[in-house]
Amino acid sequence: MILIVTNKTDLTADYLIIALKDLNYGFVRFNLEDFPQHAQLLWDPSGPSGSFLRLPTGELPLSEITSVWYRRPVDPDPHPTLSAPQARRFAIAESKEAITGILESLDCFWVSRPSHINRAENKLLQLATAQRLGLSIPQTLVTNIPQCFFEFYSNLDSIINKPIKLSRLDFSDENKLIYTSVITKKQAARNQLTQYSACLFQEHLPKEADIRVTVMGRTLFPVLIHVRQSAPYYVDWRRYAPEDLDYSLVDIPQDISNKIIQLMDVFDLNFSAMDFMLTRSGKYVFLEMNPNGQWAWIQESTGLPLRENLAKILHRGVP
Amino acid sequence: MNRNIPFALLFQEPECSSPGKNNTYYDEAASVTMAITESGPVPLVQLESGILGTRTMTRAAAEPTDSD
Repeated sequence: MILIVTNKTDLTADYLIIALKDLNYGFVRFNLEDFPQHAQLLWDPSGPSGSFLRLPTGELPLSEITSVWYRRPVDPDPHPTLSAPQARRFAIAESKEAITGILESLDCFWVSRPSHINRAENKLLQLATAQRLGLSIPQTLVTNIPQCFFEFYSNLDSIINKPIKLSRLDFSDENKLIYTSVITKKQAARNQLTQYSACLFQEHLPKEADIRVTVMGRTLFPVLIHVRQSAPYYVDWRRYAPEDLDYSLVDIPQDISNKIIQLMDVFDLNFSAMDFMLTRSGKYVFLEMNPNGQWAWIQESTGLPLRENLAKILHRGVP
Repeated sequence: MNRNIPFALLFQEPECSSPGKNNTYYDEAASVTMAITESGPVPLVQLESGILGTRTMTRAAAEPTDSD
């Protein structure tokens, strides 16, 4: 049985579930906001009662789980009668830790284990590992020392700044996104970039195109992302409106493919969405990877059989 | 509220064009979100507006793994 750990608003989970139904593969969806009000668990690793999840759709013995797709779980949601913020935080943390621990103890196939995803999300560790494996990365500087930033800035034609961790800030009435952006002279002159935080700076390389490589198991699905000529230039393709982008299938060199698989192995992942830049000189430059990134819209844009592939590896329980 | 931070540029989050919440509901038995259409309920993700909700820029907030 395939277990999907996510939340009710995760449309990518819906997208896969449609394929699982078409292929007649058994699955159970565990939306974490259901816990503990509408879902229960029992874990008894040495006792006779058997361990299980009791979900709104029925009871699932943990021994029946053969694969887990760890998708986008949200926080558990204790009953509102538990109103004190500290008590709620405690209950949420306890529930979350219990669920994660119980699931991680399952000896089954994962796409991917949460502990592996968490480790692989660190962008600096990604860059260091990619470079160690022989992938090209942009010249990179992480610092909060102004002199070092200015030296880096003055030695390169143009540099970019990208968030190390958060790419979104939530305000009470709206959300703001933080994209990769070119550092302007005005920003640099304000001398505040390194005042409050460590910041990640990279050389701004002239690019031919962006390449998104979706890796599922050991299969790579590289896609070239084109920006339509009428659109303005942005460093970060996520800034474009959907109608400004086109996607096409692309072959990437075997050497790059091999290193991508090695990168997956180092982090012990069975899924990743990796971003590369193809420079004007034809070099593939690793930018970052998203160990739990989005992919359904790529299937819709290119026809690549991503969900069918993911469904099959989850069903088979091997990458 | 001051919404400027000195070390990053902030951008408006794009509007998600998914149908309003009144037109959708989570179907527990089907394990997917359904949209109410003129021809009856269909999985939201099978509509163009639903697939837009899977794009990288409209990810859910405050998740431990929301980096796309």
